[in-house]
Amino acid sequence: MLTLQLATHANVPTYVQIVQQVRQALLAGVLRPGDRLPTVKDVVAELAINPNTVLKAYRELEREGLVEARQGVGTFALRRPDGPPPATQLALGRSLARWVVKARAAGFDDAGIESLVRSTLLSATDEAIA
Amino acid sequence: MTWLLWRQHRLQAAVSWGLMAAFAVLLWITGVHMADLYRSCRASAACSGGTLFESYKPLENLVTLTIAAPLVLGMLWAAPLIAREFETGTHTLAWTQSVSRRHWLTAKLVVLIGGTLLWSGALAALVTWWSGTLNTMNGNRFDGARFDTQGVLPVAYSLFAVSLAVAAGAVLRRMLPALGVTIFGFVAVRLLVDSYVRPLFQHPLTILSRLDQDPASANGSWVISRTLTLNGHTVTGPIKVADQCAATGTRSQMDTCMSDAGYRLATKYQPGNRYWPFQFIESGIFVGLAALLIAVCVIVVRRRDA
Amino acid sequence: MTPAAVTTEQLGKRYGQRTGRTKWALRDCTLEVPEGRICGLVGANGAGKTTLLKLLVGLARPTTGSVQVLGRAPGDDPAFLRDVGYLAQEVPLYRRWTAADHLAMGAHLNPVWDAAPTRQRLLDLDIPLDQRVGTMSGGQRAQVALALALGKRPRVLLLDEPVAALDPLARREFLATLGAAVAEAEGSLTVVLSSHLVSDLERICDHLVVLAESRTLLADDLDDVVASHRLLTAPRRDPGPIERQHTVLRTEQTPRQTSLWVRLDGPLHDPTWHSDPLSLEDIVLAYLGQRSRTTAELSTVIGGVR
Repeated sequence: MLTLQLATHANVPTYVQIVQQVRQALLAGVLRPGDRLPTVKDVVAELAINPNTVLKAYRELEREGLVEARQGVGTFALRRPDGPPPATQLALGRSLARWVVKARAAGFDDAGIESLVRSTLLSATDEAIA
Repeated sequence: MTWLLWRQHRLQAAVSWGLMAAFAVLLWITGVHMADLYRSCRASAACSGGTLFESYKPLENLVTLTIAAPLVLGMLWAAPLIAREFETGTHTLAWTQSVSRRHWLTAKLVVLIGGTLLWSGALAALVTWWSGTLNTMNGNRFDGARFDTQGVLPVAYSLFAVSLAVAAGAVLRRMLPALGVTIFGFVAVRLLVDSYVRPLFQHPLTILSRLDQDPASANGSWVISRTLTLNGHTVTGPIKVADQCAATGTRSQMDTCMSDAGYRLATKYQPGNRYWPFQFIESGIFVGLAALLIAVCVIVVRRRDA
Repeated sequence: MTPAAVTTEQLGKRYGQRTGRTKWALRDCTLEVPEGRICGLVGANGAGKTTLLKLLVGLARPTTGSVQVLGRAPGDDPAFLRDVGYLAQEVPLYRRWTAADHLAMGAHLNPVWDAAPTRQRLLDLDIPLDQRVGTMSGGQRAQVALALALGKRPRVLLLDEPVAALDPLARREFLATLGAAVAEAEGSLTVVLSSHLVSDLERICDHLVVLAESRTLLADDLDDVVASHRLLTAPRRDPGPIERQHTVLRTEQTPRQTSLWVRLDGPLHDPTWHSDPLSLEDIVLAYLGQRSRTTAELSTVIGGVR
């Protein structure tokens, strides 16, 4: 069963966080096509957020063609989003974990790691454009 | 609403009616016994009324204590009914459970008044019946505490007490101040009516009698005052015994002497046949006050912001 | 557009007319809460939150203006009371009763009552049904009160600072239960809850009303609020052009920099201003900090009329 989390002080709207987490779960294979997503009520009971937020997220996912809402039954995963196959995802995840261990040993704290990742992403984007 | 009222007040109801039942048993047993005693005493020649019910003195005092029952009823039943609900905020509970304020208040008042009538009526009936023997013997049901605890008057007092308590609760919205107002108000009004208003219901009669005779007031009357008069004027200050009577020996001889000299005992009284009219007039006053207070309670609860 | 569950028009409430020291607890309040929303009511203590909620449920009557809940004025009739639930700040419950007693009361007083789901809701939260409410923790009491309010399946639920006195875990659980109930109702339940903790409101609410000094400063859709309020910074300059086009809530000038907390009333034309988003807390604080300014100048924006 998929459990969702909420990062409260990220400058990312709640519904976007939910969309991202569902997409990530589909990519990683935690959520497979045909699986039922947690009901709106369950998500709200877990996270104490507004039901409309969850509805908004599910509608967005439906718009992207990743899920399908079936009246009276629930919302079901449809397909895997475009992205690296689970095996690649797993391998990348593992090498990232190794890097994190190295970074921590070198003295980086979580905030430092996050900002390094962010700046790397930005410069990578710039390079891609350039 | 019935369920709610029962659930809220079931303990109070059980205790009050339990006490009533116990009291009833006590009065029933002793009452029957006293009636028998009196009957057999009257049948025989040698009967001294004074010592016949000597052993029943404590019980007599207990029965006299029921004069406080109306006030106690008001405090125990009525004050929590309205005042405590407002104080703790629970008056909004029934309201937010789909019971309109009108319905809530009506149900409470109907049960309160009905219960008061039943309970105080039962108590008054018991005490009146039980006192029958003593009344016949002493002929004094019109005086003092006996008048207040027998007949229909206790019921009127009880209605007044509970109405005062609910009105105080509605206006003050706090238990302790409401109780204070109830006690103070009840005692004050009772004393006022007792001392100043009751004697005025009907103009009292006055009768003159010689000092050496039994005071001539019919059995069962309410003696308001007895004063010494000389030739029609009330004697105030120290009684100057006429010179010729100073030398007499016994008290009764002195009485005869003074009566011959013109002294009379003036008894101001209400005759016994005015007992029931007086009961009804005073009951009417208190029931009228009760109705007024209930109206105040209803108006205040309905119109004020919760 | 979804119909409005709650509408007020220039609603005002004044107290103290009889004592002569009048005080406006609420003034010129105009707002609209669409159906199915969870509306947060935020403001300092004494700002009028409790008064507004009381006016909405009918526990107080307006001095000026009008209020409509579900299309009718709040009143003392069962039809209205059936659809509206209310939880007062002190969470009034009968302390000596158990949770089961309270649920039984709900079943007896309300025409509609979801007995089994309400019991289940409390059992799921590990709240013992046969324990006296007075011995429960604050969080458990709040949950019992919430269950009592939800059990009658209201269409509008009004909560006055329900989580103010609760620890963080109890607070989270309460809001989760509330949100789940709204989710289950699928749009037929509208909630208005007041709080002075903006972080709670941010999670659970999708509509916001800000009250300060008894006036509404803001009444709008939460997403729109967050989207339209920005922090503008630039090297020190005259804020005039911005002030003319948009609503400036707060100005900070240092020798090097000018910072403006604004509500954008249109597109920002000047690219030299750096624009950052504002957290909901900062937005609310900016509104509440406007005490020196005439609050009338910062009149309301009504959600939906855009």
